[in-house]
Amino acid sequence: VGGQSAELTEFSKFYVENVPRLVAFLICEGVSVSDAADCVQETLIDALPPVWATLEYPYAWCRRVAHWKACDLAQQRREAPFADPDLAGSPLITPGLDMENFEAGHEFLRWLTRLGSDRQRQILAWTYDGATPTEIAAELGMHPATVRSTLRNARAALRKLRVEGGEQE
Amino acid sequence: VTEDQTQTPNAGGPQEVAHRDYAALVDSLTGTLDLHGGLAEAVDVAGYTAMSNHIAHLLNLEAGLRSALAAHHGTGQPRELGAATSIAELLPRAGAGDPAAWDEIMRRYGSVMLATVRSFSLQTADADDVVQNTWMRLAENCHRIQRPERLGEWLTTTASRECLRIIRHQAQHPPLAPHDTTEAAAGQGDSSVDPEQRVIDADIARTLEKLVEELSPSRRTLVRELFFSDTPRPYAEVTRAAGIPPGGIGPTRARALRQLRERLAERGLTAATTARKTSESDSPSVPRGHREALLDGARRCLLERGYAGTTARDLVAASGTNLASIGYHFGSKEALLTEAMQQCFDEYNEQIAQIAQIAFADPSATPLQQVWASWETLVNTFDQYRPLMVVFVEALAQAERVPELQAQLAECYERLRTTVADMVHASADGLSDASARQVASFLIATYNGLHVQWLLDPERAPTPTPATRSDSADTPH
Repeated sequence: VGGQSAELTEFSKFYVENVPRLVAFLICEGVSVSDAADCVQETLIDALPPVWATLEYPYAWCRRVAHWKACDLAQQRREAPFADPDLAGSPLITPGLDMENFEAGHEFLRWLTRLGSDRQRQILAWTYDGATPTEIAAELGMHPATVRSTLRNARAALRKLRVEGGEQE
Repeated sequence: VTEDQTQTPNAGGPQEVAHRDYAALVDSLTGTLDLHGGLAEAVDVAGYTAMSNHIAHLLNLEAGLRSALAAHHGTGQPRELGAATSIAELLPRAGAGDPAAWDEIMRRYGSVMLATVRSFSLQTADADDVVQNTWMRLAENCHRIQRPERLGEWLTTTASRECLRIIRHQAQHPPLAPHDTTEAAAGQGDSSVDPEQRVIDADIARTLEKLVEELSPSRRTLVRELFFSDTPRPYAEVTRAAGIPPGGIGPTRARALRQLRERLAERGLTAATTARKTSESDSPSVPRGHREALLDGARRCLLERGYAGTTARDLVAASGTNLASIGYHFGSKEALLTEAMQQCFDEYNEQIAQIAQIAFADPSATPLQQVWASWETLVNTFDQYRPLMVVFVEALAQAERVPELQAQLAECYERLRTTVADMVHASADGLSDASARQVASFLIATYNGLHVQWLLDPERAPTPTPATRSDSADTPH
């Protein structure tokens, strides 16, 4: 029991430190705030002991699992667009918070939504989260060179949007 | 450029480190070469960091962690109610109103009960009722259950009885005429239909049911398959069951429905009363009036667009019906137009006959004067009937291509000849039938010729003025 509680302490520390980062990563990938919170919460539940002990790089593992959970969710939404609305809400989300306006409140996210392709947004999300193009390529099943050029295009597009936006303002 | 990138704790295997270093080198080189780009990138990373920090403040990490840890410990309820707790322990606690005990019982037996209820194929609302009622029964009888270890059987038996009760109730009050109880169980009416309507429907349905019994075996089978069956079968199977050739469903169905409609009418039930019933069962029954609406629309279209220029969609738009009803009532657009044209001509001919009759009515006038008088009247009606005459001329052009139209126009001429011959006969006694018809044909031919000339050039077309009258004095008697 003692070993288990030590594991749980370690897990709790990891949870508090990394959940915001994971949620931010999913949001950057294009997932809505509440969905991102749900996916991350589920991921962390999956990562609970006894799985926890087997994880060599827990953060990388969680990021991968959360990413695929978000993909699954998007797929379900596409197949059943009127699936039952999420009534309960994630425990992660403080009740009463105006999550709808979160995305509108960040200029950076507004730029992201105007990028040319979802792929660019995705690659940017992984990059900002600290993954290198090689790692991203392995995770997403792409060629590293493709990741690099997508990243280059995404950065160029962002820059262009910013310049145009600046001129308009 | 990014603090995030430097503190990355995650990494792939050691073999990826070299790749990563290389990639970092490439990235930093890109940054160095394009100072502007590097600056923009820094701004973006700052935006990302700001968003991350904001998220960290918004999230309720404590609640999330608590919920995750609770998931680790099982259901969030204290563990002493786990799978190990026996039903004998749970039941008294549930009876005492312990929600945890109830949750555990429902968790253990919920799926068994759902499966039982589903096996009766009730409607969703009824199935929900049964589940609810069964749990209610358990709540009432918690303390009376003698063998708690067999609670599962108790629940399934109770649920089955609830289902049977509902089915029996519906069999006694059938929403639509079912053949027997099994059908009543399977085919309950739509709960959106209000009860009064159900009573009326049930009454009609019973009559209809009796009538269906009286149909010939193949028609009876077909009607039942098509309108009373809950599980539609492929048409191939239906034809086999009814013993009719493949593709014979449409005509047989039409005949059966017509027969039913006639029988219903004999019993004082009009098609309108039963239309709802049949349309509920997806029958091709069409509300009355489409035929008439189509004919009216077709006449308007004929006058506005002509025979060749009228499309099926024009007809539908003008009549406010649908494309399918043209085929259902008339078979084709051409048939509809032909029939509409027939109506127009009949009316026109009737009008002309009346006008001519008035002109011929003067007994003191000579036959020649009578003819002149009638012509004058007719020519004066040209303006009024111009659109109709245009339709007629257009129809003549189409007749070559549409045999039905040709036959009909020929028929039209024949009737006209008879009518005019009768008038000629009446005004000039002593004429043989044959010569009366000849005179009639001549009059019609002249009239048609005038008519075409007038259509093309109303200004210079010949009119029956006194001058021309004396020139053409020798009429063909």
